[in-house]
Amino acid sequence: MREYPRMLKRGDKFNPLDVAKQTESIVCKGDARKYTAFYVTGVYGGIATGYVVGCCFRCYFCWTDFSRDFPEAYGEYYSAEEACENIVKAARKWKVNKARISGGEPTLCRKHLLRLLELIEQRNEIKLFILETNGLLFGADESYVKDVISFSKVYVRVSLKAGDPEALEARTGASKEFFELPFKAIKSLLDNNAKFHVAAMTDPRIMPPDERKRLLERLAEIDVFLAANLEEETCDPYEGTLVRMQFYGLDPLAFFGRRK
Amino acid sequence: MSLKIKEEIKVILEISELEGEDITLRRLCSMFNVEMPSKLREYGDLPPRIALAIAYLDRELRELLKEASQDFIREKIHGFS
Repeated sequence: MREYPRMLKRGDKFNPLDVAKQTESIVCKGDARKYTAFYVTGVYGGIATGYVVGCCFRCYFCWTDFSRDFPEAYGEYYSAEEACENIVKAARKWKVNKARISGGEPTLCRKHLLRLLELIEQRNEIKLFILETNGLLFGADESYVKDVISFSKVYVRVSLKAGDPEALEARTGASKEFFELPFKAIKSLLDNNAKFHVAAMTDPRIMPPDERKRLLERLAEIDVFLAANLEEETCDPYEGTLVRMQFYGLDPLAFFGRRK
Repeated sequence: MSLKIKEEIKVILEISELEGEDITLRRLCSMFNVEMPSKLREYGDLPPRIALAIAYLDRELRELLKEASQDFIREKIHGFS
């Protein structure tokens, strides 16, 4: 097995589909997947969350904890049934009716996700399941999009990391040849009448204005409403972000305006 | 199409840039004293971007949203130059 990519350094690049497979070999076991916690958080007005381990990108601005970089060291395996029970339990406790899995890339471990969605579909406590993805695996296989959106409660949020191939490679480590896959995912979702919107890390400290403009134009070419409804993300100083920035060679204090 | 509804949707797109995820569409409109078009009321309990995205699947609303989006995005991209 190729060396497993962890925190991104300038110039690192990899095949993200290979990294997805490598990560799955660590975080998936049968229909079980590694989770570190189940809780409710205030985003989306309150949402039950299963925090999953493992991702196929290595964004230097990523907010998640270190389970992304060291998936072997974190989490416990939960079957889809156990994960569903824990998510519903958290939702019931805090009286929320939305759910998601977050922290890692939820589309890793396809078998687990599809079984989880099947179970969520049957639970009256959950009205909406928000699937936050980087779009890579959906772009690589349209049948995955069709499988996921066949569940009525699923709502997809595709988070783009860059407006051009070189920027994708520099920020995430995912080789620039894979730049089109998240856009393919968006087109598949659109063609299949999925409930979804697009987000993008357009923070001006990360994405220059001309790239942001190109990204908006690209989205508008696909569908003008997608561009208008774009959720523009900003980078916050989470612990994981600060460490990853340092590792990448950025000064987090300067980045967040605390040092000139 | 009604110019008024198109304008209202455009305003909702604008204020969703300030808070599009963590409160409901109804609350957002109330905070900014914006009238929520009656056609969007059934989506009022959802976060604004999610509400708009689901409304976009409704054939009647789709055209309204598309036209409002064209104006909105033209102005937004123009702001870059």
